[in-house]
Amino acid sequence: MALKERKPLGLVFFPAFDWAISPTHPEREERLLFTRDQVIEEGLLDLPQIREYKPCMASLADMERVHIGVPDVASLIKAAHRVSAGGAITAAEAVFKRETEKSFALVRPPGHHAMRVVHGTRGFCTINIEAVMVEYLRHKYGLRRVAIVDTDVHHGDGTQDIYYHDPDTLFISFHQDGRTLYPGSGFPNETGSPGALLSTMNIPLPPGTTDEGMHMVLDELVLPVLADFRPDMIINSAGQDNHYSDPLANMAVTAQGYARLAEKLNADVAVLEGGYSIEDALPYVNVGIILAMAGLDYSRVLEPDLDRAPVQSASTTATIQKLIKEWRETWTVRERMKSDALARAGDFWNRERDIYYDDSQILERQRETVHYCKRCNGLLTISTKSAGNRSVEKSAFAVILGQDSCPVCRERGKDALIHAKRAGIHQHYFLQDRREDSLERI
Amino acid sequence: MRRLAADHLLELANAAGIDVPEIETTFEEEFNLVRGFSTVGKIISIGVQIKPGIITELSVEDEIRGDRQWL
Repeated sequence: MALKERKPLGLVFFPAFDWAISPTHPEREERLLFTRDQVIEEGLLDLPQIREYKPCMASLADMERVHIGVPDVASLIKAAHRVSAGGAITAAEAVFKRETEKSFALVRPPGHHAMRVVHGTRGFCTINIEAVMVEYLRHKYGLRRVAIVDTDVHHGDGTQDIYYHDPDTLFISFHQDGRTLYPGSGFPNETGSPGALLSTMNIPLPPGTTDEGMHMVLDELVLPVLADFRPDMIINSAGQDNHYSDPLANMAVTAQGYARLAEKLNADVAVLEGGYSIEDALPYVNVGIILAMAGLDYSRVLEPDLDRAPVQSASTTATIQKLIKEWRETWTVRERMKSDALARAGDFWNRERDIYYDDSQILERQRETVHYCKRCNGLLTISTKSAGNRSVEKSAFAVILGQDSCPVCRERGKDALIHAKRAGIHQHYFLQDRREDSLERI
Repeated sequence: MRRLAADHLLELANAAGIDVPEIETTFEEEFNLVRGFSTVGKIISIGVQIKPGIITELSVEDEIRGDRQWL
């Protein structure tokens, strides 16, 4: 059998034309209709530089490697979620098998607001498709150091949550300031738990940021930080709602800005996230990103109404410059900050939070505890309880054992679970064992 | 909608002098058209074609007869 020629770009296109939050919701059936028409009419799928892939279906085991669904993942998702996560896996696998140099999973439903514990849908997301993809690659191919750069206008709080305690995953998100936009988080002081301090980097940008501001952040902060971190793989959560025409946000980035970003970031895999200007932005932004990733000329991908793209104000530029300066200073002393934070934390670190599921109208109260260990990355326990207008109260207790968990931590984790089960406060009890690659219900 | 598409195909076929023994649908799509946050219409696409197949069957006899006539 002749070896297949390695192509510059693999493209998975799964528009999920039968899935929507509701028919008039921004995340609705025809969201990628106009993008499809543009991609087909431009003949992008006929280019020799691009190979199209059909998405696989992610299995429940693939999703439960990341998520703890309450009461279970299966009852919270639709078939579209399995294909969307599977599409991300297909895209990444094409790169891993060296069939393509890069890949773009142009899929929906999106995933970057889905956290580790899932009670329902929040920010249009139920399953974190990037995390399912990364953990699949780690499990199957032993991938280790990963950088996820989230360029969606909304803070990727789900991805941040999943990797908050993982020093091997650098999560960088720049987004419109959380004081002015959903989900209201993503501030510079959210930097990861002490064991993974500064593997989370949030860059909240002022409303009205243009290509100029976004590329300042990219050139002066994101790219140097990536070079320092030296990841084995770069993933781009390629949301497109920083566009000036997006109805849900207030930024001023253009298709050219996004395409240039894709070129400079040079991500191994890009995965579509948000972007709700389905007629005025998505067709152009997606074509720009596809051309840039395939190494083709994108200079003529221009929106017809480009004249109305706002100009960045001087105060916005100044705010961004200040933010970059502060982050650069922090980044240079990251090792010392991390060891200080670990010393301060002692044996464990915990946080208690309320998490709102806007789509499911559920409020979750969660308590997370990281138990530190000198021999391994320790273990994580989560106590969670949710209630909502349209749902009954649900609660669960989960113990998460890492890939490198030592025998002592494994025993401690199992003891904690048995102890919790005896106390009987929660309805469901889970043991997520990354080394055994299993999610057990006790 | 289906009839509209079929009628249009017939019109085109008539103008070109093509026989239409059967019409078949190749694809159908229906999407909402939302402006702001309300549905203002539908985008409906239907693909129709003349069913491909053999136009006229010729038997050996026909051919011979045809030849004779020609001669």
